[in-house]
Amino acid sequence: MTDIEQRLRRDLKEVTERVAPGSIRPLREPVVRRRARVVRWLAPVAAVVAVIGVVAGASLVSRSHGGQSADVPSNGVPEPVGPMPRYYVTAYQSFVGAAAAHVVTYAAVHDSATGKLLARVTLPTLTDAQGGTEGPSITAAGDDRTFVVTEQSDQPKVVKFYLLRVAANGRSARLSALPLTVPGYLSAQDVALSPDGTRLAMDVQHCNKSTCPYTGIRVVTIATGTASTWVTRANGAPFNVSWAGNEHVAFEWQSNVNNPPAGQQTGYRLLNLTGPGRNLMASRAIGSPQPEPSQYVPAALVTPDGNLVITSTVQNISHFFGLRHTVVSQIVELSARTGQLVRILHTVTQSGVASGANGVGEADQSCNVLSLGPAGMHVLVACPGFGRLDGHRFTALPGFPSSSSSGISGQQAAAW
Amino acid sequence: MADDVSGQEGAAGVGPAGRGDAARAVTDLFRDHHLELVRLALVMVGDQATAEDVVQDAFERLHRGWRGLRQPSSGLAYVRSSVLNGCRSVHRRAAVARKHVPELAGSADTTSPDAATAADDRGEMAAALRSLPRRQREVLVLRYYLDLDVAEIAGTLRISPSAVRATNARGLVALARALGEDEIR
Repeated sequence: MTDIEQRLRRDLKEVTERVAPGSIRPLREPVVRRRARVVRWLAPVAAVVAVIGVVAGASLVSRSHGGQSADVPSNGVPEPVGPMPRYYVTAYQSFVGAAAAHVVTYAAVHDSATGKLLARVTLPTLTDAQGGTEGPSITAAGDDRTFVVTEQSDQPKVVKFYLLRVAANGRSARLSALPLTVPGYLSAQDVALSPDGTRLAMDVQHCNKSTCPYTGIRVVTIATGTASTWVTRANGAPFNVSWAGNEHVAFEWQSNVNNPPAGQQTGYRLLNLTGPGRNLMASRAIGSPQPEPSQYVPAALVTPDGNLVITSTVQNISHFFGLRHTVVSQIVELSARTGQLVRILHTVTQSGVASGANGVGEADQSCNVLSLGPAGMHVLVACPGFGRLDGHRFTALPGFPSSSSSGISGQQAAAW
Repeated sequence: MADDVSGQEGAAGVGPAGRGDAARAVTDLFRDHHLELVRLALVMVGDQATAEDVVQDAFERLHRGWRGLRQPSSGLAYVRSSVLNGCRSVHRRAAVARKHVPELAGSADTTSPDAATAADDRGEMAAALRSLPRRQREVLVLRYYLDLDVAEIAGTLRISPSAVRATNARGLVALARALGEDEIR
């Protein structure tokens, strides 16, 4: 643990211990709520405000799709016809035992069509110096039977990779530890397995100084452990690594500054692994749908052909003078080249959401893109429930024992 | 290491939380976590009275919404998120927040030079924390005060684990910079 971390922990403890158990005043009587009366007289006003809110609360989606209905495919894009992977694998942790429970990490193989559990494998759980665990992540090759599960610890900084091979009938799976390492001075974020299952790509940051000296994409050959890293000293970091074929890695570059220099703007990029040099910013920009800089990096995956980005968006609609909001979360398909909306795949609407920071609604749960099938036509999502998207059609799937069964509390790692 | 499983995955405890359990479960949560949550809210809003109000509101919401919980065991995560949401609302009411924020520094105990220095250090840290963007502040407090791991923070803040790790790293760098430290050691 660094000095700043130790000091932060110590000072927070000292500040909070000023609140002694006896210093807290008795609970107050709850306020009697007269919501119905308020709603009646506010209703006409709220209707007007809602319209204003739709305009004022412009978001990525509302700017780009021009009021398009979520149910209507745009631009004549056909529904997916490609094959769906036979199996999907979820990686999760669960408490085992009673009060002093310990955490066990599982990878569970499911039938993609029915959701039926076919096999379950136990993984070694990686815990940090405090006994905490970050939870596993998982990525799939293009054969729907080869997966890599990653476990990480921050303190000490350790990354472990496990190869999971699912039997042809899906009813058993073999796990083996991969002899791959990530240097301790690098922190790896997202990991993606190449379609042919031979290489891992991951975004890495080297941040042990007051600034991050460099960030990059590291590609490791599984059979040999040989690694190549494309790096940059530009102020920003790559996220959301995915493969576009076996020779290109797509990622989202997020700038840390308001007005980045030309060529360093936040957006999606495509790195050609066969190109000359190891300069990350020599990768080709393929779209910039993100406002910059953003505190929140939604998961985004680029289809194998490099043409489309599947990501999530949030639209906020104000009601009652901005006190309440309707939050519309969507899974959308963007053009990787222009960043423009191609079509809306799925929409979830949450009403009556309370205001949060900056006066916008803070939705309890939003959408997340978890994994694209090899053809890029079927998507595993959490929106907010876990399931698959076949074009516009959402099918809820099992895969996680409960939303709070473990330290992952809401994190959903799944791949196919 | 591998094991075969036939049939559907056991979904122990799945289903909405029952009405009859609400009072007992919320009481248990209140008894076990009220102090910790008031302290969390104090760090976020800087004023104990406001922190107590935020936490009480959160428990009231939990009690009202208990039947809607998918899992009774998710009550703590729910109320923790609710406290953070309440703290954000406090900050949104900027005039109120500004009035209380200086209190976050703590009242300096100047009975000894060491105590005064320690209080100054805490005040400096509090000011540095306040200077961070909200998301960075929340991640750092959840990580280094509540000792939540990355996945738990991701679940509480409804952001991806990658975003938690990145925000944590950037938050520490920004904190070091705000404290005038040249580098993170």
